[in-house]
Amino acid sequence: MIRFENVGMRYGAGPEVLHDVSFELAPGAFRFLTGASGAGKSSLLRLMYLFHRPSRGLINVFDQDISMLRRDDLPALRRRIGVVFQEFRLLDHLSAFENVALPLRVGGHGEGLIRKNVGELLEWVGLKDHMNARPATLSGGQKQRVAIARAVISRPALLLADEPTGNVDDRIAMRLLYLLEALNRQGTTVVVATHNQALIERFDYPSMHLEDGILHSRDVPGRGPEVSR
Amino acid sequence: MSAERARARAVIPFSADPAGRLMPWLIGFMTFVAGLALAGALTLDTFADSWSEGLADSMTVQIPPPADEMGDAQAAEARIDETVERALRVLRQTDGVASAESLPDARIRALLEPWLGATLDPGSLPLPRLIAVEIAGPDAVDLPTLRNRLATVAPDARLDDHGLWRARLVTFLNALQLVGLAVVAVVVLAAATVVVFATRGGLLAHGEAIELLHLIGASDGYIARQFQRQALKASLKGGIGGILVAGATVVALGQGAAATGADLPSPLVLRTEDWPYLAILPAAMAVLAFLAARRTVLRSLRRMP
Ligand SMILES: Nc1ncnc2c1ncn2[C@@H]1O[C@H](COP(=O)(O)OP(=O)(O)O)[C@@H](O)[C@H]1O
Ligand SMILES: [Mg+2]
Repeated sequence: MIRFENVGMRYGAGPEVLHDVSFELAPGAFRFLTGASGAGKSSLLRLMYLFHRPSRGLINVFDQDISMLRRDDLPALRRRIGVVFQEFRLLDHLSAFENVALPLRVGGHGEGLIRKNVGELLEWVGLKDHMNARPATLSGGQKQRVAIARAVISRPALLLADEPTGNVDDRIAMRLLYLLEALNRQGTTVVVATHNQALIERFDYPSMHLEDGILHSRDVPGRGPEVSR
Repeated sequence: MSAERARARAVIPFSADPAGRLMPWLIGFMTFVAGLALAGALTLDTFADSWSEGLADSMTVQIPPPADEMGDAQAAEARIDETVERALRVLRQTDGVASAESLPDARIRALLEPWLGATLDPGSLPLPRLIAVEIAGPDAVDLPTLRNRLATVAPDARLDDHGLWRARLVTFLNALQLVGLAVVAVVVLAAATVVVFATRGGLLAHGEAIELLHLIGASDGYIARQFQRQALKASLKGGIGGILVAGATVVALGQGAAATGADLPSPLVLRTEDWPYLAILPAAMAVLAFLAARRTVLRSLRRMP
């Protein structure tokens, strides 16, 4: 599903923020990505959702060497990746419904399917009564659920969540994790960046730990078929 | 789908940026200007035709006053009357001449009055005699032969077939027409430039939304469609408004010209068959705006990483 080999990354002419990152994620894997603030979690996720290119090393996403991709190839790949951004990145002028519907519209799906799927999903994340609300009128937790609904509406093969539990209380964070777990059981590969130690212990999935741009993996034996180094 | 719903659905919030709101007005104003210029160019066509036809159907024979004005005025008058009579006879016998009339003194003075003033003493200025000749049609008269025959009866007579006038007038009107069409072209190009700049402004203003759209898998084409639809709507709105105002202006000017009772064909009365050209203008503007927006977005996005 995803393979990094000796990947280095820098922003512009700045210093390298990721060094020699190597790992592999099998389809269906669930991983936490941990590390202190500034360790490079968001940067690593940006490489995975094809927002940044590595400055060195090899990245394979869906068995494609991303250095070989042309600009026109990106949309199709990105549609298979759902992202929950650290700052949510909802469009303020659109209702919750339209925000969640966006990936389907971009994918050219019909109005009927959009009504049905978006309605169901919003109900599932408990936002049935807030479909027409603008993000500005929603609480942090509600915005986050909108962001998650948008990330999963088109049933991505890979779901990347950047500190989704960052600014919600533990109860909501727990519910969120159950939700991601449910998606994972349906076959979605999930990577969750977080530094919520309680969650990591509670859910007991393997984690990848970043420290100053260097990746250390910590596997939990007997969990999932994936290989990692 | 209601307007409210459509607005709620616009993926990029164009209605929020000033440049976007200004666009219909700019395009409207430009369509108005281009519409007037085009109407002018089209009517000049009619104008040139009817004027040169009017001039082609007539000629003027000018018989200068006798040079020895110091002599007996009465005798001089009589001599010139005789010359005019001979010239009229020749003219009326010529094939292709419909009529030939000597213009009375009073008429000539009336023609000169604006230049010389009403207090002109008839005897103080030797006036030429003019013969207005109506001919059956262009080229109906064999001009060289007529000139020769006139020269035998009235050696000083000058026959003016208005050919030079006509040629100059047509050249002038054609030049004016070209200017009008050039104005249309320049204004249309300016409108396209406005769209290009508004689109670039929009790309900057909505950079975050565009980035997000890319991240959830939107192609450049999808984003271009948002912009081109917006440009099409804005330019249709402005273009139709502008051309309606231009059309109303043309009608009003035409009626104004008719009310003054001028004999001349008004330069702003459009023939029925000219109106469709005006109607095409906003459509052409819209297509151009659509293409300009699309090209601008695709080119800008292709430069992104
Ligand atoms: N857009 C950016 N431009 C330049 N430097 C950045 C940018 N984003 C992050 N960084 C730097 O990269 C390093 C890793 O940041 P980040 O990936 O956001 O870490 P984390 O998500 O773990 O907090 C930090 O030193 C940060 O300052
Ligand atoms: Mg981060």
